[in-house]
Amino acid sequence: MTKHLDMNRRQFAVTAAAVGGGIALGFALPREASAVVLPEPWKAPPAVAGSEINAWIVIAPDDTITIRVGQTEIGTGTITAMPMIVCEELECDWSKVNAEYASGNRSLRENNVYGRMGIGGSSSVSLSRDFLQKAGANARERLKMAAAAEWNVPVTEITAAKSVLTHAASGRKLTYGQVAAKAVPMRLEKDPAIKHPSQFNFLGKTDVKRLDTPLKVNGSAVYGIDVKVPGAVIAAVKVAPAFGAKVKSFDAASAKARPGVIDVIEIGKEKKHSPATFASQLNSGVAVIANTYWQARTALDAMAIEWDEGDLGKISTESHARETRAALDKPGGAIANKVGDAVAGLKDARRTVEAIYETPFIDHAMMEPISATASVTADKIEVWVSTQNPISVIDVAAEESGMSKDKIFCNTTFIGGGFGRRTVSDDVRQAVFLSKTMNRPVKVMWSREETLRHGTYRPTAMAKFKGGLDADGNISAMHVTYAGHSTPVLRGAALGNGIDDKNKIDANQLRGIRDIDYALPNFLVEWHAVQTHVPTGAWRGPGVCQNAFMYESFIDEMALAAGKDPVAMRRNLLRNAKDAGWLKVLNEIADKGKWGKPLPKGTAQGIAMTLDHGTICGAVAEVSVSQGGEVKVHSVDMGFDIGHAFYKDAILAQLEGGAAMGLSSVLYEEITLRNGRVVEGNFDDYRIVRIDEMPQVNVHFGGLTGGDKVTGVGEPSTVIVPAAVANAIFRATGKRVRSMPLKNLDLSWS
Amino acid sequence: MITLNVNGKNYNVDVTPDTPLLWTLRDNMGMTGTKYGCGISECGACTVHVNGQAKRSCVTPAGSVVGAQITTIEGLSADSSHPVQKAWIELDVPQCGYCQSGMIMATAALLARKPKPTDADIDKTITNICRCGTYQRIRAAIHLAAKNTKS
Repeated sequence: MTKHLDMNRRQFAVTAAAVGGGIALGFALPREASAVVLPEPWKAPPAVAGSEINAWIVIAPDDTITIRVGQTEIGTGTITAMPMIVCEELECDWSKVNAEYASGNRSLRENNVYGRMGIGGSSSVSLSRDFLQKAGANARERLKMAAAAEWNVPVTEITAAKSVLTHAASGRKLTYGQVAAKAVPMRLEKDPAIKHPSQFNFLGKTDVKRLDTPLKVNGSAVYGIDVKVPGAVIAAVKVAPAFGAKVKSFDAASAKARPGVIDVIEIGKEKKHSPATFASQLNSGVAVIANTYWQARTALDAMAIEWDEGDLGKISTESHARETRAALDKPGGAIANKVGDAVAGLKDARRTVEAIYETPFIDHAMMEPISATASVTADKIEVWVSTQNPISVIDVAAEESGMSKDKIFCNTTFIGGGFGRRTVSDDVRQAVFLSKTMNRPVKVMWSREETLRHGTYRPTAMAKFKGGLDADGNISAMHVTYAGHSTPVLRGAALGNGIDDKNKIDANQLRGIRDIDYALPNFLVEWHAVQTHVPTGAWRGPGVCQNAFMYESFIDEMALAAGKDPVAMRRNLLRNAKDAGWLKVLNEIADKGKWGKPLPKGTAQGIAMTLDHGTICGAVAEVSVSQGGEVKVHSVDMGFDIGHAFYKDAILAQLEGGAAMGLSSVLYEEITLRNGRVVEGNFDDYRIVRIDEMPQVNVHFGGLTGGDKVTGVGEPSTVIVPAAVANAIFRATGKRVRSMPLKNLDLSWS
Repeated sequence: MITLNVNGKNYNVDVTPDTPLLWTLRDNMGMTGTKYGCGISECGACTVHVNGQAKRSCVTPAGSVVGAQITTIEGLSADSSHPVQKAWIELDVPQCGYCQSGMIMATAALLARKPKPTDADIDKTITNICRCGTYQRIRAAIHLAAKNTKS
């Protein structure tokens, strides 16, 4: 906490001379005709001179309050939720709040003033709320000081509400806008206390509309792919289809002869990435530069390119699976968990159960294909991009160009989905390289096929579970041998290609197995890394998005072997759980999901629970399987414990939508490798669920435990749905699902 | 050079007739509300109206719609007052929002043809993809728009 305090003192005490250091998003609540909706949202709206109270808050004389947002809007609601948190403490009039993106450039220049700017890990609220509340409280107290000085009364006699400062004894009032300039030089002796979530009177209490919705129903929201920069040319790119292969030759002359084509440039000959940024590396490939995308794309598609692939072509889904399967039988994996003696416990067990589960590489498949625009000049770089991490954009642009970071500006656009893919800035590196090479602004655009075939995929995993039951049918021992690709994109090469050098495990990839509060007297988890040339990274709910499926399916296998009901089994496993949320969520979903209700043959419920970034979540899915094996998910009843609900409608949206993504992952999603390259190329062979397959998602808030817990909802429903569906399928058909996706399995029954 | 009528105005654009309408709108006419998602008519992010019918512009050659009335999301209404847009705002449907232009255009065409669609009509007609999974709200918003549309 001391660290936080110091950081915030520094941030709040230093009042920047320059006002308006943020990147204005140019939109406001749809409250008045004057609300500015700019087609290019990173540009500042017509300036309203205001006073910057601290790095987050600018107050104008007309009482308009601009709140800066460090967490980019990938669809989770941050552009609304972050200002709401500031507003809670600032006690301001929400109808006069504007949101704008905070500047990554400024954060780097001013000692990380905006704190953690990246988006991921369900954490925008949980990891930002402390400093955002402090920013609001700091400004509120300094506004009070300014009013107290104005009236020459003790500051303790001033109250603040709805952007108005009141001295009750004399009946005097001033608005925030009237005293803002005088609050700028005010200094606090110490940081004011911030509210406990139980004291909130705005968050969780008010129905707030999302600020960005009006821009997203009329086509005016500008995404990275929509950016128009004067003088920019379009680069269609193709990098070696087998990851890591190199360009051998290409027919530049024929491409250059086509209409609109300006140049053909080889990329990736020289690599400038560091170990920490290797996920953004410039892969070997070719860019065709033209006036329009269609000219560039058709010329690129028509161009003959030869690749030097070495032995990469020998790698396939099957070869990788054989290698992974073999690792499961190797003794001596790195120890991830050790409680009691699982090996001895299994020997002593009354009955044992063993099963192997597996999950494939999958892609984020966000709707907006990869794109980035860069303008590199002698003294400045500007980048326009859909990014989850503006700081990574600046880091990568600096590394690629050699320019110092203070001269690099990231203009974050609206973002057509992220899910973990837009964290590494590989697109930015291409744009910076090409702009520098061509000495003009360049917009890089990947086709859907290029986007799907050059992802940072969810890693593969296989796990061998051995469980033992005692005479009472309780799990007495569990031994998990896990073989999987790690996530180097997340961990950085400094950790040995994804592996934590100290413990020799990828802890991130083991979430959902090693951190569940089930009472297992003897528990051993061993890890084997099985790497390939395939780039991997964070996919919505890293690790747990596949482990919840594997682990919770096996728990149901144990329940079956013990002759126990899956809910009763879990209730027993959670008997010692330290966090009350586990049982509260379990009871909530069993109750609201009407666990055990009578259903026709071929229809059944499945239940599952897990933990994701501190959020306990659980689901009951109702699924029918036709005798021919066709799966239909009818409903999902979702429970969760995030402590407190700050922004209820955004929570509902995340849990509803996340369920669809989880459903796609269990039904269809799979990236397969042939000849060292990805087979799937588009939504015809990489299927995503559509509206006709969307189950009714019922979100229940009864699992919330309050207290000091504040966690997030970005990932939980995506990670829990596959397990609940798979468990329902077994109960409907008698067929145990031990691999995803279901499209590869014969689920027919009679 | 071809002439296209988009949102009630004629535009002379310098493209070959086989250039997809999507890229003609986006690159040559600067109308970026219509989105590229797949290029093969799978996802529907590029949906526009051609003579009132929903059409996937990524596989529609510009030369094939000369003389037709083309409507894009920018021209659906002047002020987001179309019942579908209003329902989308009312229910805060979008998350990332990238697919929503296409969703809204597909829905507007459906309602023009079938003012009170059933769930089965929606399942059959709205085949666009939303990766954020906003389908539950889309369905509710379609019914709300139908309710609010004066017949």
